[in-house]
Amino acid sequence: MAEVFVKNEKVYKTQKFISNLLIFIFLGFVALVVLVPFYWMLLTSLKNTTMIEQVPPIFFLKPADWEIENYRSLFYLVPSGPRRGEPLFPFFTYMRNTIVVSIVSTVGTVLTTVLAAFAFARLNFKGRDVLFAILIATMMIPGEIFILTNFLTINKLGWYDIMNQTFMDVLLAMTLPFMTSVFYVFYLRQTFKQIPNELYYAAKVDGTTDFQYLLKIMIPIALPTIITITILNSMGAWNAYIWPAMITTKDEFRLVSNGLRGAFTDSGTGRTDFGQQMASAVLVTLPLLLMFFVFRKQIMRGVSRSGIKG
Amino acid sequence: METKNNWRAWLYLAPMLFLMAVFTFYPLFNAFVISVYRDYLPLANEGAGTISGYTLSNYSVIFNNQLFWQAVLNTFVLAFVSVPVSIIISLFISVGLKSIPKLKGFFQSIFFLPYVTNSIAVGMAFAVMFHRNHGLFNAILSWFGISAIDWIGGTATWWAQMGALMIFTIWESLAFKILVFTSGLQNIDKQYYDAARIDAASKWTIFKRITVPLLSPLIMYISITSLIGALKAYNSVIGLFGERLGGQPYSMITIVAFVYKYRSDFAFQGYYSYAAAGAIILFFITLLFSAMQTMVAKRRVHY
Amino acid sequence: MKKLLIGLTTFLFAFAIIGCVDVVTTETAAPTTTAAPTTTAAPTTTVVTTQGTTLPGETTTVTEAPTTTAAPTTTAVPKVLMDLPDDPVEIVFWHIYGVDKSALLDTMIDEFEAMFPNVTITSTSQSDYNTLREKINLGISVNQVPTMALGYPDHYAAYITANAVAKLDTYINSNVRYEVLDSQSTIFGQFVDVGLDIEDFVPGYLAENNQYIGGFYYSLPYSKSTETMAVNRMVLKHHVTAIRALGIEISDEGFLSHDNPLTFQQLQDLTPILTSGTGTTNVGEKKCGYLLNYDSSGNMYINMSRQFNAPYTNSLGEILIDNATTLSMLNYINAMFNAKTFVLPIIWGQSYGSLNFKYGDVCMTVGSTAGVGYNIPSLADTQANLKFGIFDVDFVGVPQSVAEHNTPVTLTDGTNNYSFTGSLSAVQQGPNIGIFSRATANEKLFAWLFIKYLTNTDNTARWAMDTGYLPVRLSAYTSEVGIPLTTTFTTTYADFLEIAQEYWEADGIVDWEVTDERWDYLHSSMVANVARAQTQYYQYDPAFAAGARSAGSAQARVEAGYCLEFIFNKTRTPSAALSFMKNQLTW
Repeated sequence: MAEVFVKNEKVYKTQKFISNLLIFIFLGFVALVVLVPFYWMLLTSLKNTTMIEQVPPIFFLKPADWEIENYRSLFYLVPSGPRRGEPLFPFFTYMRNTIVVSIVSTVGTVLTTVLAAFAFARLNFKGRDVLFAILIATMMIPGEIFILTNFLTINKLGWYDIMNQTFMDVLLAMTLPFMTSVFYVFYLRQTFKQIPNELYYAAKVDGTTDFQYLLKIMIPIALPTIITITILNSMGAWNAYIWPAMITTKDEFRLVSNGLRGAFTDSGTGRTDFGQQMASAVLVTLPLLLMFFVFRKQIMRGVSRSGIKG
Repeated sequence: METKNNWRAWLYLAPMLFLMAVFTFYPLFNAFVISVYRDYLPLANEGAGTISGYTLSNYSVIFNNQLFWQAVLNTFVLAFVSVPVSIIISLFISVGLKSIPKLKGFFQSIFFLPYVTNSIAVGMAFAVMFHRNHGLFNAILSWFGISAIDWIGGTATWWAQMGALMIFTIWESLAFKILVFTSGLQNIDKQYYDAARIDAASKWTIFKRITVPLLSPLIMYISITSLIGALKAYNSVIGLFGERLGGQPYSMITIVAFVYKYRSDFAFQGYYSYAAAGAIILFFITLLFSAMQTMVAKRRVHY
Repeated sequence: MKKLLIGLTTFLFAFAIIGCVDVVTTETAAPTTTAAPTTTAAPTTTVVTTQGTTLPGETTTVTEAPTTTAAPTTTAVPKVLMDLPDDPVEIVFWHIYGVDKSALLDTMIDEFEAMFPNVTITSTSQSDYNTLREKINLGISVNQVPTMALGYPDHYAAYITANAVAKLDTYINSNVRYEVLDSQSTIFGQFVDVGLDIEDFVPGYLAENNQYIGGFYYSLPYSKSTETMAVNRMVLKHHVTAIRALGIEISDEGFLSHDNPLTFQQLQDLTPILTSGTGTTNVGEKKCGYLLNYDSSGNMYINMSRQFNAPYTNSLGEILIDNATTLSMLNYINAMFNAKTFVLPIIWGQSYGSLNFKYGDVCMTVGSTAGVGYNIPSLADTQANLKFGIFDVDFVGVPQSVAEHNTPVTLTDGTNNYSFTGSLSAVQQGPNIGIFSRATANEKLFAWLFIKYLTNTDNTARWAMDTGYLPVRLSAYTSEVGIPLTTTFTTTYADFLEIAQEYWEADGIVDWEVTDERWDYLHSSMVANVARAQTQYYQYDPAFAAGARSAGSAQARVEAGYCLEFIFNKTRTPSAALSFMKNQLTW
């Protein structure tokens, strides 16, 4: 009997080993697929035009063959004219704007999301389900259709003045329309709903107000989800393209995505310098990746703890 | 629950509703109105715009355009293939991650990377990878003796282009789904799995009978939001194909791209109304599918 | 009237002045004879008055180029002398130039600001024409537009429907002359004329800029280019005897005529000689895979429709493509695609054919003059890819349907005949520059002076030689003023043109040193010569906004290009492609 048991244990262990190996191979393959575009971006950014056009493509480049020029040219200064001495491609300006916009819009979004999710998850009020359904429905409308009307609104609010637009105007115009997210309200509501009702009633008995309850109990419990939302939302500014291009009057107010498009296309012939373009793509992606690796533990912990259940 | 905190609830909702009223509901209402303007000239009359009445013919202009039907077809194929496929892949990955706790953190970080990036930058990288001559994909295919396929170029077939778009779309969307499913799995009570192991249930059975049902609310959430997202696909098309909306002109046009084609010419007579009509048609399509999905889910989802 | 003049000229503010200019102009309608330059050095002997006055023989300074037009240069035109407004003016200028070209533009802005220290020009790139146009359209609806902007004619057509663009005729015909009184200015004490000699602009460009309602100038040509054809001279030279046997003019060294472009018939005749017939290059026999690549399918459609006299669009905004000639043209193009006489770069997975021209996959390629350099094989290319190695490239005019304008012709593909009246035609493309009416009078005035500065004889030549665009002024071709291109190389535009002439006259056998800087500009010079010869049959694209049931000219151009791509791909037959185009352009 004991003999049989040991054998089963062995079989079980081998089976487990094989299945884990298969899983490992599968995950490894997917990981490779995920990583390759990043590698290719980096690789292309280090090639000159001739290397890029080579068939079959070059898979590895010795450091000696790296075309650093693609990167160096991004930091060239304007040789003459009123912008003399300023960088041709104002990478750091774009970066700073992006970070500021990202922070402001994230703080705003988290604030409105937490309050709204609390109302939907915990408070009972007339028309709650209807309102929630309406909000979900707004997710289904392509945002492109809002642009013109929103542009007119921004102008009425005085934030689009072609002669005297300030960074404050730009900041408000870029962030306010995006300070709400039904998507995150939906997400956070799920987490809030998980918190047992008993806690709420107990708090009520203790004379705690709704707001204190939200601050002292719900937010700490749902913190991982809120962190996740914060992280996810702060990526948004890195991807915004159309709206920032629309409502900025000056180059110095733009975000990184705007800089990526157009800057490396020959305006006369429409040809693009892929090497330079990829170099700037790497530069734009790099800060995000660095941030991710520095805060990896916090981010992944936040992400994996953000228990969301129906 | 209490019922008397009606006004307080609205107070909590106020910041969100106020912003949405200005930047979502008002433009939405406006879009409805504009979609029935006749001969709308937004720039005329000192920028106040002029119309010559109201009409539903803007909708028929949309329906009469051959490209609209191409856009509907592409959008549906993209949405109804990429959403389930990416959900299945990310489910497998999440379950796989659970069974190798040692390397979990490492893999999880990698899988999260597509989220930590700029989509235009990655779109450009994919375009380089899909290039017919010096692209990575064809180089790999050539190892297996497959001759070069035009994925995103001017002679690419519809299937090749859709394949490229699908790969890009799925690659982009995995990160968030894996994230949500991994954290969902974390929350499934260990008891269920222990019970299953005692019953000597196979991994597949456990997956089918425990994991999927217990994750069903999350799967539901993900599939609704992803479907909505996929029906609005636009950035991925632009990222991969540029303004041509396909290797062959228009061949990967989506509904939003179709709407956008009119919107960028909004200054011309009637164009903004066509764009608005197109957007509203998309709104109803999306609404229809979400409603259907919710109804199906009500019967299937395990709470 | 005189009293009014005296009164008004004492004011410094330009809004008063502009109003006055109108009045003055009607009195002395003759345009000024000064050519390009903005500045006129102070004539030392002239007594400066503060009143309308005549300055005899004023066209005498070094910065001025002699006019080349029939304008009566000897007649003194009365000038109204005024003090230049010197209160601060901010000009917002929107363009789309990326890092490559904005440097030279910035230099010119710098120079202009040094001339007018009270002016600040904020130039902003809006990254691409779509964004630029969309932002201006949005801006018009909220009264927030830049002072001036680049734009294609169809952009201006839309802006004009909203009354948003300033007419330039007032300035062009103005006889106001300002004295620069700011001691900080680099042209302190000198004179600046408002008016300019419009006759000095290349007529083909002008026609495009006053095609709008009322025949007014709402813009002036700025960065103009055309298409030319690059040919692989090595392959041509190899087949000289066979080519001559066809009756085609060719030199011993393989130079085709630079005055008489090839005809389609000649291209058809050349196809069996110069191409392998299989689509792949035969290096041994020196035969390419395809004969002629067209970089821009949009230009190909539009230009061929003119060469075929096939109705396309008109300035009323009517879409006229639904006709038998157009279908016949598309069928002909389809036959030429099949015969490998014509090819589009998408066959190689490219947007432009330059690379494959260098590789030897195609013997000739039609492309923008602004992209010359991309067609020249060199040591910088991966040598293994260059099937013919590094070969000599020559540039000739774009192929035509006929040798002489307006002559009937019948082409055949062996089975079908295509009869039509052929016309000579070459595209002209590139943005114009204009001013928005919302700006204050002072802003408009300096914006105008800036346009005048950018397009003056020297600067248009400098811009042309630096960027591959073409001068917009006739006087640039004859100007004696040397323009420094590098620190060691200075040339006039005429001498620049002479580079290719000399090379061609020597049949490509010149004894220039390897270090001779002329080598660097040889191809640009060839293109400039060819482009100049083509100016006589430049045709512009009618620009119009979309109407209630039809699209605008910009979309028409895009769909025209796609139409040819569909035919090339075999995704649609010529008639299906035409009907799809019709579906997209009318409803």
